Amino acid sequence: MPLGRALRYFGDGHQIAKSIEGRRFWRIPVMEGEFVCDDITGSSTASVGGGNFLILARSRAAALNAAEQAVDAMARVKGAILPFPGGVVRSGSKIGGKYPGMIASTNDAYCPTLRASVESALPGDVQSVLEIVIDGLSAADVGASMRAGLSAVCALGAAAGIVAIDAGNYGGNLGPFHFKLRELMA
Amino acid sequence: MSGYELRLRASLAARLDLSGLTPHALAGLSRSEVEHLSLPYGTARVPLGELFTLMPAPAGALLIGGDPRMDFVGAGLASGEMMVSGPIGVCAGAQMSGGLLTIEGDAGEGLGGCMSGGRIEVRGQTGARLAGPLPGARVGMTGGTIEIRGDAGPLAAANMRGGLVLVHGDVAEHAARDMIAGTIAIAGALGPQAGAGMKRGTLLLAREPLLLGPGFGDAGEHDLIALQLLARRVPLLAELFGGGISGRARRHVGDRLAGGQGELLWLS
Repeated sequence: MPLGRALRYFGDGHQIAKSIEGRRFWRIPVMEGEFVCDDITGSSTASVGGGNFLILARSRAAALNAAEQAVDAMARVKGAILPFPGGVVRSGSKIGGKYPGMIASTNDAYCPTLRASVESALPGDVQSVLEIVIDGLSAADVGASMRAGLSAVCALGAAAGIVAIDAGNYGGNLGPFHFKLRELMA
Repeated sequence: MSGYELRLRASLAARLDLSGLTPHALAGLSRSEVEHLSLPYGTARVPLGELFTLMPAPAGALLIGGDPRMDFVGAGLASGEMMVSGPIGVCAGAQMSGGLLTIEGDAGEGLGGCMSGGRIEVRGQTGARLAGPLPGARVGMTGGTIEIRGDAGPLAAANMRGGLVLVHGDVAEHAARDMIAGTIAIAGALGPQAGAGMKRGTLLLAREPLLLGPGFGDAGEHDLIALQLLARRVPLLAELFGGGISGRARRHVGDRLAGGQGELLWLS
Protein backbone atom coordinates (compact mmCIF):
# COMPACT_ATOMS: atom_id res chain seq x y z
CA MET A 1 0.00 0.00 0.00
CA PRO A 2 1.62 3.34 -1.04
CA LEU A 3 0.94 4.99 2.30
CA GLY A 4 4.15 7.02 2.69
CA ARG A 5 4.04 8.01 -0.97
CA ALA A 6 0.91 10.00 -0.22
CA LEU A 7 1.86 11.19 3.27
CA ARG A 8 5.09 12.76 2.00
CA TYR A 9 3.21 15.74 0.62
CA PHE A 10 2.57 16.85 4.19
CA GLY A 11 6.24 17.81 4.16
CA ASP A 12 5.37 20.67 1.78
CA GLY A 13 8.60 20.24 -0.19
CA HIS A 14 10.84 19.68 2.83
CA GLN A 15 10.39 15.89 2.77
CA ILE A 16 13.46 13.74 2.14
CA ALA A 17 13.42 10.38 0.35
CA LYS A 18 15.96 7.66 1.09
CA SER A 19 16.29 4.48 -0.95
CA ILE A 20 18.37 1.91 0.82
CA GLU A 21 18.82 -1.76 -0.06
CA GLY A 22 15.90 -1.62 -2.46
CA ARG A 23 13.49 -0.01 0.01
CA ARG A 24 12.44 3.61 -0.09
CA PHE A 25 11.37 5.57 2.94
CA TRP A 26 10.42 9.17 3.66
CA ARG A 27 11.57 11.62 6.28
CA ILE A 28 8.90 14.25 6.81
CA PRO A 29 9.74 17.22 9.08
CA VAL A 30 7.11 17.69 11.79
CA MET A 31 6.89 19.78 14.94
CA GLU A 32 7.95 16.83 17.07
CA GLY A 33 11.02 16.18 14.93
CA GLU A 34 10.83 13.87 11.94
CA PHE A 35 8.08 11.48 10.90
CA VAL A 36 9.67 8.48 9.18
CA CYS A 37 7.67 6.03 7.09
CA ASP A 38 8.15 3.52 4.30
CA ASP A 39 7.11 4.54 0.80
CA ILE A 40 5.12 1.34 0.49
CA THR A 41 3.62 -0.24 3.59
CA GLY A 42 2.92 -3.94 3.78
CA SER A 43 -0.68 -4.87 4.36
CA SER A 44 -2.55 -7.97 5.37
CA THR A 45 -6.21 -8.90 5.13
CA ALA A 46 -5.81 -11.52 7.82
CA SER A 47 -4.97 -9.28 10.77
CA VAL A 48 -7.17 -8.49 13.75
CA GLY A 49 -8.15 -5.00 14.85
CA GLY A 50 -9.99 -3.40 17.69
CA GLY A 51 -9.12 -5.33 20.81
CA ASN A 52 -9.61 -2.96 23.72
CA PHE A 53 -10.02 -2.50 27.41
CA LEU A 54 -10.95 0.40 29.64
CA ILE A 55 -9.22 1.40 32.85
CA LEU A 56 -11.66 2.87 35.36
CA ALA A 57 -9.86 4.87 38.04
CA ARG A 58 -10.44 7.24 40.93
CA SER A 59 -8.48 10.08 39.29
CA ARG A 60 -6.94 11.13 35.98
CA ALA A 61 -3.47 10.63 37.45
CA ALA A 62 -4.30 7.10 38.57
CA ALA A 63 -5.83 6.21 35.21
CA LEU A 64 -2.83 7.57 33.28
CA ASN A 65 -0.32 5.84 35.53
CA ALA A 66 -2.09 2.51 35.08
CA ALA A 67 -2.41 2.99 31.32
CA GLU A 68 1.29 3.76 30.97
CA GLN A 69 2.23 0.70 33.03
CA ALA A 70 -0.01 -1.41 30.79
CA VAL A 71 1.50 0.06 27.62
CA ASP A 72 5.02 -0.74 28.84
CA ALA A 73 4.03 -4.36 29.47
CA MET A 74 2.16 -4.68 26.16
CA ALA A 75 5.06 -3.23 24.14
CA ARG A 76 7.04 -6.36 24.98
CA VAL A 77 4.49 -8.64 23.26
CA LYS A 78 5.32 -9.35 19.63
CA GLY A 79 2.71 -9.47 16.86
CA ALA A 80 0.50 -6.72 18.28
CA ILE A 81 0.59 -2.92 18.28
CA LEU A 82 -1.18 -0.13 20.12
CA PRO A 83 -2.21 2.18 17.27
CA PHE A 84 -2.93 5.32 19.29
CA PRO A 85 -0.24 7.86 20.21
CA GLY A 86 1.52 6.63 23.34
CA GLY A 87 -0.79 3.64 23.23
CA VAL A 88 -3.47 5.45 25.25
CA VAL A 89 -6.92 6.63 24.14
CA ARG A 90 -8.03 9.68 26.06
CA SER A 91 -11.37 10.20 24.36
CA GLY A 92 -12.91 6.81 23.68
CA SER A 93 -15.87 6.75 21.34
CA LYS A 94 -19.16 5.04 20.68
CA ILE A 95 -20.49 4.25 17.23
CA GLY A 96 -22.58 7.04 15.68
CA GLY A 97 -23.93 10.19 17.29
CA LYS A 98 -26.89 12.54 17.34
CA TYR A 99 -25.52 14.65 14.49
CA PRO A 100 -25.91 13.38 10.92
CA GLY A 101 -22.67 12.17 9.36
CA MET A 102 -20.92 11.43 12.64
CA ILE A 103 -19.58 7.87 12.46
CA ALA A 104 -18.36 8.09 16.05
CA SER A 105 -18.86 10.37 19.02
CA THR A 106 -17.93 10.56 22.69
CA ASN A 107 -18.55 7.39 24.67
CA ASP A 108 -21.09 9.03 26.96
CA ALA A 109 -21.75 5.95 29.08
CA TYR A 110 -18.13 6.14 30.27
CA CYS A 111 -17.86 9.92 30.63
CA PRO A 112 -17.65 10.68 34.37
CA THR A 113 -19.26 14.10 34.02
CA LEU A 114 -22.36 12.69 32.32
CA ARG A 115 -23.49 10.42 35.14
CA ALA A 116 -26.71 12.34 35.70
CA SER A 117 -27.39 12.86 32.00
CA VAL A 118 -27.09 9.37 30.46
CA GLU A 119 -27.30 5.74 31.48
CA SER A 120 -23.81 5.59 32.94
CA ALA A 121 -21.67 2.46 32.99
CA LEU A 122 -19.42 3.85 35.70
CA PRO A 123 -19.32 2.98 39.39
CA GLY A 124 -19.77 5.97 41.67
CA ASP A 125 -16.12 6.42 42.63
CA VAL A 126 -14.75 6.53 39.06
CA GLN A 127 -13.56 9.93 37.93
CA SER A 128 -11.50 9.03 34.87
CA VAL A 129 -11.47 6.35 32.17
CA LEU A 130 -8.69 5.65 29.69
CA GLU A 131 -8.82 3.09 26.91
CA ILE A 132 -6.14 0.97 25.29
CA VAL A 133 -6.76 -0.31 21.76
CA ILE A 134 -4.87 -3.27 20.34
CA ASP A 135 -4.37 -4.46 16.75
CA GLY A 136 -2.49 -7.66 15.93
CA LEU A 137 -1.52 -10.18 13.32
CA SER A 138 -3.79 -12.81 14.90
CA ALA A 139 -6.43 -13.13 17.60
CA ALA A 140 -3.86 -14.95 19.73
CA ASP A 141 -1.42 -12.02 19.44
CA VAL A 142 -4.11 -9.52 20.44
CA GLY A 143 -5.14 -11.77 23.34
CA ALA A 144 -1.55 -12.09 24.56
CA SER A 145 -1.06 -8.33 24.42
CA MET A 146 -4.31 -7.68 26.30
CA ARG A 147 -3.36 -10.26 28.92
CA ALA A 148 -0.05 -8.48 29.53
CA GLY A 149 -1.78 -5.12 29.89
CA LEU A 150 -4.57 -6.40 32.12
CA SER A 151 -2.02 -8.11 34.37
CA ALA A 152 -0.05 -4.89 34.71
CA VAL A 153 -3.16 -2.93 35.73
CA CYS A 154 -4.33 -5.64 38.11
CA ALA A 155 -0.88 -5.66 39.73
CA LEU A 156 -1.36 -1.98 40.62
CA GLY A 157 -4.76 -2.71 42.15
CA ALA A 158 -7.05 -0.56 44.27
CA ALA A 159 -4.14 0.93 46.19
CA ALA A 160 -3.12 2.74 43.01
CA GLY A 161 -6.63 4.08 42.45
CA ILE A 162 -7.90 1.39 40.08
CA VAL A 163 -11.62 0.71 40.48
CA ALA A 164 -12.35 -1.67 37.62
CA ILE A 165 -11.38 -2.81 34.15
CA ASP A 166 -14.03 -2.94 31.46
CA ALA A 167 -14.14 -3.22 27.68
CA GLY A 168 -16.16 -1.74 24.88
CA ASN A 169 -18.08 -4.44 23.04
CA TYR A 170 -20.16 -2.08 20.91
CA GLY A 171 -23.14 -4.40 21.13
CA GLY A 172 -20.99 -7.22 19.76
CA ASN A 173 -21.41 -5.74 16.29
CA LEU A 174 -17.93 -4.38 15.61
CA GLY A 175 -16.20 -7.23 13.80
CA PRO A 176 -15.97 -10.99 14.21
CA PHE A 177 -13.39 -11.09 17.01
CA HIS A 178 -14.51 -10.80 20.62
CA PHE A 179 -12.02 -10.69 23.48
CA LYS A 180 -13.75 -11.48 26.76
CA LEU A 181 -11.70 -10.22 29.68
CA ARG A 182 -12.66 -13.01 32.05
CA GLU A 183 -11.63 -15.66 29.52
CA LEU A 184 -8.34 -13.89 28.83
CA MET A 185 -7.44 -13.82 32.51
CA ALA A 186 -8.75 -17.30 33.36
CA MET B 1 26.40 -21.21 -16.16
CA SER B 2 30.14 -21.91 -16.14
CA GLY B 3 32.61 -19.58 -14.46
CA TYR B 4 36.05 -18.45 -15.53
CA GLU B 5 39.22 -17.14 -14.00
CA LEU B 6 41.27 -14.85 -16.23
CA ARG B 7 44.98 -14.78 -15.37
CA LEU B 8 47.11 -12.17 -17.09
CA ARG B 9 49.93 -13.67 -19.09
CA ALA B 10 52.04 -10.52 -18.49
CA SER B 11 51.62 -6.96 -17.21
CA LEU B 12 49.61 -4.84 -19.63
CA ALA B 13 51.57 -2.55 -21.96
CA ALA B 14 48.53 -0.44 -22.92
CA ARG B 15 45.02 0.37 -21.63
CA LEU B 16 42.67 -2.59 -21.83
CA ASP B 17 38.90 -2.03 -21.99
CA LEU B 18 36.90 -4.86 -20.38
CA SER B 19 33.46 -3.25 -20.82
CA GLY B 20 30.73 -5.83 -20.99
CA LEU B 21 32.95 -8.75 -19.96
CA THR B 22 30.57 -10.10 -17.30
CA PRO B 23 29.57 -13.56 -16.08
CA HIS B 24 26.29 -13.20 -17.95
CA ALA B 25 28.06 -12.29 -21.22
CA LEU B 26 30.30 -15.35 -20.93
CA ALA B 27 27.51 -17.73 -20.00
CA GLY B 28 26.94 -20.28 -22.70
CA LEU B 29 30.21 -19.52 -24.49
CA SER B 30 32.70 -22.32 -25.00
CA ARG B 31 36.24 -21.90 -23.76
CA SER B 32 37.38 -21.35 -27.34
CA GLU B 33 34.73 -18.70 -27.94
CA VAL B 34 35.82 -16.85 -24.80
CA GLU B 35 39.48 -17.00 -25.85
CA HIS B 36 38.57 -15.46 -29.20
CA LEU B 37 36.56 -12.54 -27.80
CA SER B 38 37.99 -9.34 -29.23
CA LEU B 39 39.08 -6.75 -26.65
CA PRO B 40 40.10 -3.10 -27.21
CA TYR B 41 43.77 -2.94 -26.23
CA GLY B 42 45.57 0.34 -26.74
CA THR B 43 44.73 1.43 -30.28
CA ALA B 44 44.09 -2.11 -31.51
CA ARG B 45 41.88 -5.10 -30.72
CA VAL B 46 43.30 -8.41 -29.55
CA PRO B 47 41.80 -11.82 -28.74
CA LEU B 48 41.22 -12.34 -25.02
CA GLY B 49 43.35 -15.47 -25.12
CA GLU B 50 46.43 -13.45 -26.08
CA LEU B 51 46.30 -11.51 -22.83
CA PHE B 52 44.78 -14.03 -20.41
CA THR B 53 45.05 -17.67 -19.48
CA LEU B 54 41.60 -19.14 -18.83
CA MET B 55 41.01 -21.27 -15.73
CA PRO B 56 37.73 -22.77 -14.47
CA ALA B 57 35.92 -20.95 -11.64
CA PRO B 58 32.67 -21.49 -9.70
CA ALA B 59 29.53 -21.20 -11.81
CA GLY B 60 28.32 -17.64 -12.35
CA ALA B 61 31.64 -16.13 -11.21
CA LEU B 62 34.33 -14.29 -13.11
CA LEU B 63 37.73 -13.89 -11.44
CA ILE B 64 40.28 -11.52 -12.94
CA GLY B 65 43.88 -10.79 -12.08
CA GLY B 66 44.09 -7.01 -11.82
CA ASP B 67 46.34 -4.46 -13.50
CA PRO B 68 46.33 -0.64 -13.20
CA ARG B 69 45.79 -0.39 -16.96
CA MET B 70 42.70 -2.58 -16.93
CA ASP B 71 39.67 -0.27 -17.40
CA PHE B 72 35.87 -0.68 -17.18
CA VAL B 73 36.11 -3.93 -15.20
CA GLY B 74 32.57 -5.03 -14.31
CA ALA B 75 31.05 -2.26 -16.41
CA GLY B 76 27.46 -3.18 -17.19
CA LEU B 77 27.39 -6.01 -14.63
CA ALA B 78 23.74 -6.99 -14.00
CA SER B 79 24.05 -10.27 -12.12
CA GLY B 80 26.59 -12.76 -10.87
CA GLU B 81 29.87 -12.16 -9.12
CA MET B 82 33.15 -10.67 -10.28
CA MET B 83 36.32 -10.60 -8.24
CA VAL B 84 39.51 -8.76 -9.11
CA SER B 85 42.76 -9.60 -7.36
CA GLY B 86 45.04 -6.59 -7.52
CA PRO B 87 44.66 -3.00 -8.67
CA ILE B 88 42.53 -1.88 -11.61
CA GLY B 89 42.15 1.16 -13.81
CA VAL B 90 39.31 3.57 -14.43
CA CYS B 91 35.53 3.25 -14.42
CA ALA B 92 35.22 -0.16 -12.75
CA GLY B 93 31.58 -1.06 -12.15
CA ALA B 94 30.39 1.71 -14.45
CA GLN B 95 26.68 1.41 -15.25
CA MET B 96 26.32 -1.64 -13.01
CA SER B 97 22.71 -2.59 -12.34
CA GLY B 98 23.15 -5.70 -10.18
CA GLY B 99 25.53 -8.38 -8.97
CA LEU B 100 28.68 -8.09 -6.87
CA LEU B 101 32.07 -6.68 -7.88
CA THR B 102 34.90 -7.19 -5.39
CA ILE B 103 38.27 -5.51 -5.91
CA GLU B 104 41.14 -6.76 -3.77
CA GLY B 105 43.28 -3.72 -4.45
CA ASP B 106 43.09 -0.06 -5.46
CA ALA B 107 40.63 1.22 -8.04
CA GLY B 108 41.16 4.14 -10.40
CA GLU B 109 38.93 7.07 -11.26
CA GLY B 110 35.24 6.81 -11.97
CA LEU B 111 34.46 3.75 -9.85
CA GLY B 112 30.72 3.03 -9.93
CA GLY B 113 30.06 5.81 -12.45
CA CYS B 114 26.35 5.93 -13.36
CA MET B 115 25.79 2.74 -11.35
CA SER B 116 22.09 1.94 -10.73
CA GLY B 117 22.18 -1.24 -8.65
CA GLY B 118 24.30 -4.04 -7.22
CA ARG B 119 27.24 -3.82 -4.93
CA ILE B 120 30.94 -2.92 -5.19
CA GLU B 121 33.53 -3.65 -2.52
CA VAL B 122 37.03 -2.18 -2.75
CA ARG B 123 39.64 -3.32 -0.25
CA GLY B 124 42.07 -0.52 -1.13
CA GLN B 125 41.85 3.13 -2.17
CA THR B 126 39.83 4.61 -4.99
CA GLY B 127 40.53 7.53 -7.31
CA ALA B 128 38.56 10.61 -8.23
CA ARG B 129 34.85 10.80 -9.10
CA LEU B 130 33.72 7.82 -7.04
CA ALA B 131 30.00 7.17 -7.77
CA GLY B 132 29.92 10.14 -10.09
CA PRO B 133 28.78 10.61 -13.66
CA LEU B 134 30.60 9.07 -16.58
CA PRO B 135 32.06 11.51 -19.12
CA GLY B 136 29.19 13.20 -20.92
CA ALA B 137 26.58 12.28 -18.28
CA ARG B 138 24.92 14.76 -15.92
CA VAL B 139 23.92 12.31 -13.20
CA GLY B 140 26.12 9.91 -11.26
CA MET B 141 25.21 6.84 -9.27
CA THR B 142 21.45 6.31 -8.84
CA GLY B 143 21.29 3.08 -6.83
CA GLY B 144 23.19 0.22 -5.23
CA THR B 145 25.94 0.17 -2.62
CA ILE B 146 29.68 0.90 -2.80
CA GLU B 147 32.01 0.16 0.09
CA ILE B 148 35.60 1.49 0.11
CA ARG B 149 37.90 0.14 2.80
CA GLY B 150 40.58 2.77 2.16
CA ASP B 151 40.50 6.44 1.13
CA ALA B 152 38.58 8.04 -1.73
CA GLY B 153 39.86 10.70 -4.12
CA PRO B 154 38.44 14.09 -5.07
CA LEU B 155 34.83 14.62 -6.18
CA ALA B 156 33.46 11.53 -4.45
CA ALA B 157 29.65 11.35 -4.82
CA ALA B 158 29.61 14.39 -7.12
CA ASN B 159 26.30 14.53 -9.00
CA MET B 160 25.23 11.37 -7.18
CA ARG B 161 21.47 10.81 -7.35
CA GLY B 162 20.82 7.73 -5.21
CA GLY B 163 22.25 4.71 -3.47
CA LEU B 164 24.74 4.37 -0.65
CA VAL B 165 28.51 4.92 -0.55
CA LEU B 166 30.52 3.88 2.50
CA VAL B 167 34.12 5.05 2.92
CA HIS B 168 36.16 3.70 5.82
CA GLY B 169 39.06 6.07 5.24
CA ASP B 170 39.38 9.74 4.33
CA VAL B 171 37.70 11.53 1.43
CA ALA B 172 39.53 14.20 -0.56
CA GLU B 173 38.29 17.65 -1.60
CA HIS B 174 35.04 18.50 -3.38
CA ALA B 175 33.06 15.52 -2.06
CA ALA B 176 29.33 15.60 -2.86
CA ARG B 177 29.67 18.53 -5.23
CA ASP B 178 26.31 19.13 -6.94
CA MET B 179 24.94 16.03 -5.20
CA ILE B 180 21.30 15.42 -6.11
CA ALA B 181 20.30 12.62 -3.71
CA GLY B 182 21.64 9.50 -2.02
CA THR B 183 23.94 8.98 0.94
CA ILE B 184 27.71 8.95 1.40
CA ALA B 185 28.94 7.90 4.82
CA ILE B 186 32.55 8.63 5.78
CA ALA B 187 34.36 7.21 8.80
CA GLY B 188 37.56 9.19 8.21
CA ALA B 189 38.23 12.85 7.56
CA LEU B 190 36.29 14.95 5.05
CA GLY B 191 38.31 17.13 2.68
CA PRO B 192 37.67 20.83 1.99
CA GLN B 193 34.93 22.28 -0.23
CA ALA B 194 32.52 19.43 0.49
CA GLY B 195 28.91 19.80 -0.59
CA ALA B 196 29.35 22.78 -2.88
CA GLY B 197 26.23 23.08 -5.03
CA MET B 198 24.58 20.18 -3.17
CA LYS B 199 20.83 20.03 -3.90
CA ARG B 200 19.68 17.09 -1.79
CA GLY B 201 21.29 14.00 -0.33
CA THR B 202 23.15 13.17 2.85
CA LEU B 203 26.80 13.39 3.87
CA LEU B 204 27.09 11.32 7.04
CA LEU B 205 30.28 11.81 9.03
CA ALA B 206 31.83 10.27 12.10
CA ARG B 207 33.06 13.65 13.29
CA GLU B 208 32.81 17.37 12.69
CA PRO B 209 34.48 18.50 9.46
CA LEU B 210 37.37 20.93 9.80
CA LEU B 211 36.07 23.33 7.19
CA LEU B 212 32.55 23.75 5.88
CA GLY B 213 31.45 25.97 3.03
CA PRO B 214 29.49 29.20 3.66
CA GLY B 215 26.38 27.75 2.05
CA PHE B 216 25.71 25.42 4.98
CA GLY B 217 23.57 26.49 7.95
CA ASP B 218 23.48 24.86 11.36
CA ALA B 219 20.10 23.23 12.03
CA GLY B 220 21.14 22.02 15.49
CA GLU B 221 21.62 18.66 17.12
CA HIS B 222 18.84 16.13 16.74
CA ASP B 223 17.77 12.64 17.66
CA LEU B 224 17.05 11.31 14.16
CA ILE B 225 14.89 8.22 13.88
CA ALA B 226 15.94 7.95 10.23
CA LEU B 227 19.53 7.35 11.32
CA GLN B 228 18.50 4.58 13.66
CA LEU B 229 16.46 3.06 10.86
CA LEU B 230 19.40 3.24 8.45
CA ALA B 231 21.71 1.59 10.96
CA ARG B 232 19.19 -1.18 11.54
CA ARG B 233 18.52 -1.83 7.88
CA VAL B 234 22.14 -1.51 6.75
CA PRO B 235 24.44 -3.37 9.16
CA LEU B 236 27.41 -2.19 7.08
CA LEU B 237 26.61 1.39 8.03
CA ALA B 238 26.55 0.60 11.72
CA GLU B 239 29.80 -1.32 11.29
CA LEU B 240 31.38 1.66 9.51
CA PHE B 241 30.93 3.77 12.64
CA GLY B 242 31.96 1.02 15.03
CA GLY B 243 28.39 -0.04 15.71
CA GLY B 244 27.72 3.31 17.35
CA ILE B 245 24.79 5.08 15.71
CA SER B 246 22.48 6.27 18.45
CA GLY B 247 20.57 8.56 16.11
CA ARG B 248 22.01 11.76 17.62
CA ALA B 249 23.65 13.94 15.03
CA ARG B 250 24.38 17.60 14.29
CA ARG B 251 22.66 18.69 11.09
CA HIS B 252 23.87 21.32 8.66
CA VAL B 253 21.71 22.15 5.65
CA GLY B 254 22.99 23.31 2.25
CA ASP B 255 24.23 24.28 -0.16
CA ARG B 256 21.89 27.23 0.43
CA LEU B 257 23.93 29.38 -1.93
CA ALA B 258 22.57 27.11 -4.66
CA GLY B 259 19.10 26.81 -3.14
CA GLY B 260 19.93 23.31 -1.95
CA GLN B 261 18.36 21.29 0.85
CA GLY B 262 21.06 18.68 1.24
CA GLU B 263 22.31 17.74 4.68
CA LEU B 264 25.61 17.16 6.33
CA LEU B 265 25.27 15.11 9.50
CA TRP B 266 27.95 14.27 11.96
CA LEU B 267 27.36 11.80 14.73
CA SER B 268 27.43 13.00 18.32
